[in-house]
Amino acid sequence: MTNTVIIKDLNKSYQDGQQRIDVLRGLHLELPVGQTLAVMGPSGSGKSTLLNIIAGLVSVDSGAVNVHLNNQFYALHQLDERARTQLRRSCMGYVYQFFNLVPTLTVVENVSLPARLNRRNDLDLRARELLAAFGLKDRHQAFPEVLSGGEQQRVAVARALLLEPPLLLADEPTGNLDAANADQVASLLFDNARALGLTVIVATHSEEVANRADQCLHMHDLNQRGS
Amino acid sequence: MILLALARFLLRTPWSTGMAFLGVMLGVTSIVAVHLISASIATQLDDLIPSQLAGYSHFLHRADVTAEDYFDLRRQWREGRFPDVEEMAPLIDETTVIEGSEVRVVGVDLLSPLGMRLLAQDNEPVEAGVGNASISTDFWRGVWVDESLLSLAAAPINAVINAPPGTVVGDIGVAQDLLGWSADELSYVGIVYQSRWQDVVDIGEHILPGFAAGFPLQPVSQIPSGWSVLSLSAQHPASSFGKSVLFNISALGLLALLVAWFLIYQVAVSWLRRLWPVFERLHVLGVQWHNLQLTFVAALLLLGVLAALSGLLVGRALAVVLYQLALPVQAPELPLNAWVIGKAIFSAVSVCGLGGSWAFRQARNVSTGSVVKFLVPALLLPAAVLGVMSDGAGLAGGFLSIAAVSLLAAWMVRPLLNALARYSPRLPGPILVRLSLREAIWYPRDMGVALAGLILAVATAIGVSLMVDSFRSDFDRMLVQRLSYDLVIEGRAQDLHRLELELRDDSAVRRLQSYRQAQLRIAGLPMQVVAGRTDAAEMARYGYPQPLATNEVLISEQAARALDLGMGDKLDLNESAFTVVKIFTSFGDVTPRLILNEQAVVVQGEVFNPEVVLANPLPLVSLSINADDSVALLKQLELDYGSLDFRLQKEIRTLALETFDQTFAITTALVLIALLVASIGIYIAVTALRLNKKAQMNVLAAVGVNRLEIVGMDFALGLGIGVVAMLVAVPLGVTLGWILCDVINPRAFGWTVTLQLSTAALMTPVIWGLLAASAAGLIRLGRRENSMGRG
Repeated sequence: MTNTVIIKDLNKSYQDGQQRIDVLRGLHLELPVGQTLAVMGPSGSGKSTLLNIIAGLVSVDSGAVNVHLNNQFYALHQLDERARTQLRRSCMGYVYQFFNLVPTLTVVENVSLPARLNRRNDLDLRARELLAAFGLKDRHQAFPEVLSGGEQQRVAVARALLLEPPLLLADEPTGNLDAANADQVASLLFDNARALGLTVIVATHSEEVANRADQCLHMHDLNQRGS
Repeated sequence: MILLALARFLLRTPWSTGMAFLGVMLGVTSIVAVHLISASIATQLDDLIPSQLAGYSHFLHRADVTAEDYFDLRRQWREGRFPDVEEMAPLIDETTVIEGSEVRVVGVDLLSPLGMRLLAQDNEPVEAGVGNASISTDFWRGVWVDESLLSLAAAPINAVINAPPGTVVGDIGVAQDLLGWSADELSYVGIVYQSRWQDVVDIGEHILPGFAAGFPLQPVSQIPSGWSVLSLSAQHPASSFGKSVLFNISALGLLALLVAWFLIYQVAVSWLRRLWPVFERLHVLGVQWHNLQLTFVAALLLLGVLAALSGLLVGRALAVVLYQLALPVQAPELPLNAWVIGKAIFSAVSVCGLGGSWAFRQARNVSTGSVVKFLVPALLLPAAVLGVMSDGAGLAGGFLSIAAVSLLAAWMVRPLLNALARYSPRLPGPILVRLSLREAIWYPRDMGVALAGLILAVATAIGVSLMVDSFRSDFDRMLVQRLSYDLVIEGRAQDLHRLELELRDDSAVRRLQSYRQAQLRIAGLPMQVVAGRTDAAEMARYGYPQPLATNEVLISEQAARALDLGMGDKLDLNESAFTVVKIFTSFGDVTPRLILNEQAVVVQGEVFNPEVVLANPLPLVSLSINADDSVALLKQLELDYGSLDFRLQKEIRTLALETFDQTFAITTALVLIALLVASIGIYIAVTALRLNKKAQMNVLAAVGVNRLEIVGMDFALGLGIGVVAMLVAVPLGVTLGWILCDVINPRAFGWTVTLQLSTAALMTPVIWGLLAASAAGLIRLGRRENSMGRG
């Protein structure tokens, strides 16, 4: 089976004043196509950094990050920022823990944003269908400020799914929600990704969310393998 | 300790601290430069008034003032009927021709308090001179003259005084002798009126040179009927004209300070956004809110004082440059006295204190009551209308209107943003542009004040540009009309007579026109009376399409205003009635002007006929010539008539337009400073907005928005802010232009300028405003933090 993500000997550190903090040390990871992975670990263990590196938002200190998306291999660690941005735009979806939506865009505009950036105006109807499927049919023209936290996260998931990207990343997608909303958002995320055959990496503290994934890895284990 | 922490905060945010410092410094620079220039010019303007008259505040006038009238008034004054009149004295102030020269004869009662002041002055005794022999023997019959009249033989000269050229001062009897008047005739009764507001106006004049021109104090209610009251400024229009210019400039100089206040508010909002979590924790620990506010404002005040000191130095340097630009022939003396230093520091401290306090209140959500919100437009609107409609409100009323309309526009910004925000879901265009344009209107609390600053700066730029452009257009048209002669010659009457006779037979001369002129008093007011051949060609210069009859008169707009005359009205001169057939524009005139047919004031040849309308002869003052080759004629005449002054009209036109442009260099500089300060304000507001947008930027990065698109969004945001500002600034600017042309100009100078909405005058400030806002959106200096979490 082809791997969507292949990470070898990844190292990443941050400078905090005089102190150097090694967040990722010799990290190795291989994730097959269509698999869902939950990454767990305490705060500051590097979960978000790992997701940001795979998304091409953060550059690596050393090591290799390769992704296989839409039948193409990309060595992310060798791409410049422009190419990484273009790859993220066309082949990845991303859901944050909070502040997922652009406050000055309506709900339907937020969902359509990736399509518009890819000049896919034909997906407007699909955006509305997704919103309807996610229980947000009457909220198309609303602005995010009037939505509840659960509704905002459902809009974020809809946006991440609109282009049906081969790789979907989610950073604590339910971390800010109550149990009922968290369950609803996690279901929408995993069920739709599985139905579409997407590869998913979710960073989470939640055992319930982690249990929905095909694999569950701890940051401690990922880093240890490389050490 | 908190203050120390705040000082550290200011040092650790050098970019925004620097911007705030620069904004306040520019505001102070503007007012310091204006103050220094205005104070220097005001001193020179005061020198235009003979010191013997400067002590009087007002002059009482009626037809044929006699000694009996004076004593009657004096009796009433002594009975206490004019409680605010401190002094009263008879006065003569007339212009006549003595020994071939136009001379201003001032007669004062040497035994009155004002006369005693004249005697006590440091006059220079004349050591030798034609009329000097009788100084010791006949002091009371002697006169005081300025340096230009040292050779006067008509009366013994007591001393040389500091007065405008051509001034003779003497006792009442001496002046009557020089004028050929009877012992009973007077010009005026001079009074010293001490209004209860005088001290306020005097302080205002120190703070804002030219202030008094906007707030004339008139003792009208106390003066008995049958007398008209003339102010000192009406008697000396040149000085009054200059003071009005100063008032205009001073008012404009305050603009940059007002915009700087908006800027400081914006900076304070930006800083408070970052400091607020710390303040909230300190409050939880027991620190009172008012202590936190005091500490925050104190840090801003420290910045304000430093900016004020810098502004003083930069302002003085700017004043020197602008002064030399406007008046290139004079070396400026611009001392930094206690008034200007105090004004600079007070301004900066006020701006910082008020801006900081207001921002702190807003941050604490201490909202202004709804009654106050409603009261603002309820008060501003009537003030704006009254200031424009009521001519009695004068220059100050005009500027009150400008201030009220501007504040009203600034007040409208938030409601406008809210209204636009409601419309914003229907905005068309690419999604990222839509997003940015909405951001421009989405945050009224963050953007409202900076937008108001930009609106005021651009609107003022539009208003001033429209006024200057309209004025220049009218001025240029007047020059084209008026400068229809090729060559103008001025000088002594005898030489001009001789030349006129010679040129009558010169075949190279196509047209020869002579002008007689004198300053006379009509209805108590000084007027320039000009007489010449008033055929159709000459009258066309004033826009009158036919020859002027001997019983007709052309009057300038200023004269029409001063004498309250309109077309078709009768003007009585020495019991002869003249019909006003045309009111002409005369930009640049400081004295009202009347044009008469020379047949009405002189008989055939050169002999003055006392039976005609004017009691005094009008001396020949200039000749105007049209010639086939004016340059060759000029070269020839210059050789033969070295004592005369020759000027080619083409040179006059160039000089006049150059002078015009130099005059408005100060105005342009002040508007540019205000625009710069407003741009800094917008930049700070946009930066504050970005502090709020970090999370949103992460989202956009995650969905693949690239750097070029981010730059495009920044540009669209700045442009959006600019467009919103222009929505208010353009109508406001046109309104300001109209007030300046149709209200301020007539009240200050007696001219109406025809407002012309030229595209260049309108669009140049708009383009500058849009560019400034777009640049503020695009510039991303200072921090660029990586806010991606480490998880």
